[in-house]
Amino acid sequence: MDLKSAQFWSRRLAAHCPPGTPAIRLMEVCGTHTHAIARHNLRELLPGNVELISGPGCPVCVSGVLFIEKIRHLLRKGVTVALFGDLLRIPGSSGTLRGEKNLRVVYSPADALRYALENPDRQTVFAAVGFAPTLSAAAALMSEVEEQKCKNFSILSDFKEIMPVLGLLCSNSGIGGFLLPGHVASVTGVKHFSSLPRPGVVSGFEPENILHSIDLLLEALASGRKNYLFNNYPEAVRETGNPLAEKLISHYFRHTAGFWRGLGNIPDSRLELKENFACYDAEKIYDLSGVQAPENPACSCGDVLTGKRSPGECSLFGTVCTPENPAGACMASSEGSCSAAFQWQTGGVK
Amino acid sequence: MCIAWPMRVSELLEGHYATAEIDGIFRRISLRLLDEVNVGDYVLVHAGFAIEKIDFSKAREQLEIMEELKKGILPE
Repeated sequence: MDLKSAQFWSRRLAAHCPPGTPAIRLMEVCGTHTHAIARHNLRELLPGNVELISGPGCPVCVSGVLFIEKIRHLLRKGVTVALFGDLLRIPGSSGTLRGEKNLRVVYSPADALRYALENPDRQTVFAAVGFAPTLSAAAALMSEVEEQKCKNFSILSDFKEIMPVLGLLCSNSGIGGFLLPGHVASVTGVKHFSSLPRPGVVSGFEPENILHSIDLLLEALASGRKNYLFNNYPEAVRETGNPLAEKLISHYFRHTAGFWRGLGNIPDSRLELKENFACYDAEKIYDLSGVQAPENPACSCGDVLTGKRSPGECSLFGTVCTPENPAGACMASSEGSCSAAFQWQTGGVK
Repeated sequence: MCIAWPMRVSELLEGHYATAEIDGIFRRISLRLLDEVNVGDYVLVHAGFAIEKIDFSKAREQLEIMEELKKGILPE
């Protein structure tokens, strides 16, 4: 983005919020938005009374301590666990998984299946985290697993659904509007977000596209349109999403309660394999129900995410919880509020 | 995490797979989530799976809308 465009957007956004306008808090809930906003320094272009918060949009960061300990349990039983490399950054109750044997870092769920097919004498588990895009990939993979009649492959699912959390954030924090995740919407469609009680704009990832989406949000807020929902990423998002992907997801998976690091247990926010696919569900095959791992009760990520506390007001900040050894999601994500506050040594003073 | 890239399908392979290309980088991708993909189509690829087709005519329309906005008088 050139300087002239940056100046244009800065002035245009400011025009929606003249001095004296009450503070507006917007939230983005997609790790790729978080990165684009930080990389292009887009917060610098926002009016002084507009705050853009990074929500729980990093599925790795919100995975609970228990999920990590379940993986460790499998690894120590001699099971091969295939996972995304990002999961190695997140600690369980006894540190991260770095250095554990039997780990395989994969780029795609398909790599995990390929490993299982090439090593029929080894039990292979795909430790799955992600939102709709990764979930749809896993559902497609499940159809291949069935076709191949692969007997040594299973899934340990911590797939998450973002909508229940957005609902929660609306009801207990002052979020005025949401920049909605473009790639999630590619799968789910815009309709998925229609029950949001605040304005939302599905956004792409180019810096000017993000600024235009914020512009549309501020305009909707200024004119009091609470149910405003707009697709600003139409080249990759249809109103109805990808019906084939949705069909595969609902064939293999069902909603259940899910644990979010720092936010706690949230109804209907996790997806697990349906009962008739239990033979591919690592949770059931290896009976992981006995694995226990308490979360750190002092973690205040929930309050930080909802703006009730600044990072520095959490008793773990900078001591127990650091970027090298994060306890909560806000520190685990490199663009999370706590990680940024630690990095810039602001102590998270707002 | 939900990072995805547009890629151009360059060859259809057996078993719902294809080769796709971006900036001279070729990858094997799965087409199981899409109906009727042809060589030359652009798809959005996440973790080795094409999750949606890309319609660049819509992207151009969006760019035109933004350019129109910019032609307006800049608020001082």
